[in-house]
Amino acid sequence: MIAAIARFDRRRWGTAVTVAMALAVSAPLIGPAGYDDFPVSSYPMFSRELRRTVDLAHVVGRTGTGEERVLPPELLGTDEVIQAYETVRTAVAGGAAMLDELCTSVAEHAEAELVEILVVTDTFDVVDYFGDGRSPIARVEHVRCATPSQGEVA
Amino acid sequence: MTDWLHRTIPAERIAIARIVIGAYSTAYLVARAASIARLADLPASHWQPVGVAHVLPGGPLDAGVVWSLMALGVVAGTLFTLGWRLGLTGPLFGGLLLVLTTYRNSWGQVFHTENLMVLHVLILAAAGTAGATASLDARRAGRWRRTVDGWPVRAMGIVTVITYVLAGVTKLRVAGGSWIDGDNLRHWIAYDNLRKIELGDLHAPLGGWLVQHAWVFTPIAVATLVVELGAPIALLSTSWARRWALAAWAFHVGVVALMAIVFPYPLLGIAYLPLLDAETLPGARRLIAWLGPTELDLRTTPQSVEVALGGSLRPQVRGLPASAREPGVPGAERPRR
Repeated sequence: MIAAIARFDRRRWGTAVTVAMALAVSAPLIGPAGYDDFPVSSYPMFSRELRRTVDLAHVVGRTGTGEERVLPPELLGTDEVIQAYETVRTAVAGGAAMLDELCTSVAEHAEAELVEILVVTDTFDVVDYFGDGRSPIARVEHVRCATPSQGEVA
Repeated sequence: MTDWLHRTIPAERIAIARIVIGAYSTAYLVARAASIARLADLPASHWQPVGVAHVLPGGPLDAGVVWSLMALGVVAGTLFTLGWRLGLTGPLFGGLLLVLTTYRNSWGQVFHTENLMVLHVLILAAAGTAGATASLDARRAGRWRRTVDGWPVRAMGIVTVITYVLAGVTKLRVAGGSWIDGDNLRHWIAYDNLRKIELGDLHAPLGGWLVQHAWVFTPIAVATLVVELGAPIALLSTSWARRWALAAWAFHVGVVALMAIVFPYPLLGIAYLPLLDAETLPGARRLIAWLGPTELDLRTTPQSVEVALGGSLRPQVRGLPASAREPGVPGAERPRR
């Protein structure tokens, strides 16, 4: 008898957990399109309409000869490139103080060969980028700062 | 519906799910430990809480707290994988994994590579001792179950299917029918690779080359939607589940080839484990042998046959003839010590 009750309760528990999880995970179906959270999400990556021309906020390093270098995401405090991108975007949206803080932080850890760090927003044609070379169509420079090595030289 | 949900399954199936998903998610925590701890160095202004992080007091956590939680999570995950005190280590590990991955996703980017893993662990955690076969708990008690209520495995399968359907529905809800013509997908693949190049990460050269050929993207977009929206067929039968899992796995291989985005959980096949007869997969028996009954256990003539009653086992039938045991299921009984 006790065993039968225990089994019934476990059955009900299993049913309740399954229904609750299914409802929770399905909830984005009736929420706003593109709802994103964790661990429940509508998985909106690559759903949003994306134009062929896009803006990309990023940080570049410049050597003494004027050559530009792509910087690794670790300089932005993460090994995740998307997180690094979000960090730059947040700083750009945050204004001058956040940009200065970001630029200085990157400059402090940049390789010695770099003399200055720039936070920029480049505009690219994403398809032409892979066909006609990798130059941006346009650039907005938000901030630039000297690296410690440049300071030493000076 | 509930009969289907609770139909019994070989006990090894849920044990394999616990061991594989537990080991994977514990190893995942170890692999991500340094990068999660480093998040504490980011400016607090970048903190954008998601999920349970909304209730974290004071926003970002101190690095010491993160390392402590991580260590506790790894210990709990290891014990959960081994099946020690599952009623305790399951919920503890599920909770810690949820907190730590939520923390990682609360810095401006939800990664989507961890959602399903966490959801599966939460279900296994809620199952408590239901997955106790092939575990330290079972070994200590000397109890081996042949069949168990299959709800945890089916719940994980249902959640897997829903996540894929959601991804497909979202594409249609957000971009409409135009997503099918492939232009949007082409732009995303180009943009994602461009972004990786400009931000100093590995990109997928194949994707960069392919965006020059616009016609390819319509069939790729259609195939993507067919796999995602067609996921429910995996619940029809094991053979359909195998076919769909193969298609979904191929889809993820394509994502790696075209965008260098790695979803390790499905790529390793773990996401699809709950949909398959896991105990029949190559290596499955060997996997649980080290925690399961020994050959001697299996050959022991049962003086007392332990019958699974939900989560507990009782020496209910004594001297039951071998012919009365459930046919075709090898998990044998072992006398109490």
